[in-house]
Amino acid sequence: MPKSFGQFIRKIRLDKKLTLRQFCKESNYDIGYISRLENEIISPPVEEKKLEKLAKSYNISKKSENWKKLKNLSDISKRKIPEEIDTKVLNYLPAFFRKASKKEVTKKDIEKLVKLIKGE
Amino acid sequence: MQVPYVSNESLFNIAEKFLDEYHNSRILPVPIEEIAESKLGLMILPISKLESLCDISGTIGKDFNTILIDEETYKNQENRARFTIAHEVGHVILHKQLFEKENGKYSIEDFVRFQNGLSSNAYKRLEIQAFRFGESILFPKDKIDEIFTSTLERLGDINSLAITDLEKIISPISSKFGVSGRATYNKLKRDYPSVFESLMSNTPF
Repeated sequence: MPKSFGQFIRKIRLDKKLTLRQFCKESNYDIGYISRLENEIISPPVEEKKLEKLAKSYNISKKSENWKKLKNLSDISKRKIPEEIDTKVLNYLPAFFRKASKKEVTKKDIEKLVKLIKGE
Repeated sequence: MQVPYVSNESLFNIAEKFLDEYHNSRILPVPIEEIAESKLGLMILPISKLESLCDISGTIGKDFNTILIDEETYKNQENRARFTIAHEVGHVILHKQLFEKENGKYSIEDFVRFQNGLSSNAYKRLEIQAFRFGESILFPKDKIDEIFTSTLERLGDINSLAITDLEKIISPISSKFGVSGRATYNKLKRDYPSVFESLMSNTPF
């Protein structure tokens, strides 16, 4: 059972047998936005109307059990502190990092990459 | 970090086993995104300007569970993105355990030290192995042999074809396999050198 908002929406998408690309094409949502929600780099929408819109694209109606779960996980996720996201982002750093230019990797490169991952 | 040598034949066999397990039908194009996400449980994280600002088109995260890919490539160059994803899947299949031996949790400073401490030979080996694996799963052996032969047959006598006919050979193959024209060219040139020699010898310069 998914324990977080990101895991939950990802599971629903995969249960519908849709890749990230297919889901975003069908729902018209931006790929960067959905993947960051699923990867829990950004928080779910604060406004309920936006959450409802998002739920609709996963065929989750407001009367369903899945809506209750989604809403609950969204409330939990919103309480996450920024440090938790920072720690998570560190896991996404490349296992093997070489620039095409083959120049040495610097701390500045990594900080730049962290910002890009967070979508800043 | 020591990266063991793996022969091309072994990499090819690992790729074939992978296809037996995850895409036994070999129906083209190999649905690499579906395999990565649904069957291997990998996350795809498109990152805007990853290539233009960080000089990398794609990479596997150090959790070996997340594929970071240049967002512009992912959105606009699907075939190229497929190749990148297959390559990163290669790192997961071939190098995850190797990496786990060497790494735990570390800070940005440790991370920079580890990356710069990786010798260029070790890095080259990692990349070549992932490249060969990725290529082999997107171009299943029996399929590429069959389709390359039938494409040539449709074009007529090989001796009448010149290098200027290359596009007619590459384009249909590239779209069948869902791989970029450049990657298809590289694959064909390496696997069927005699055909390329023939094309060259029929070309008046």
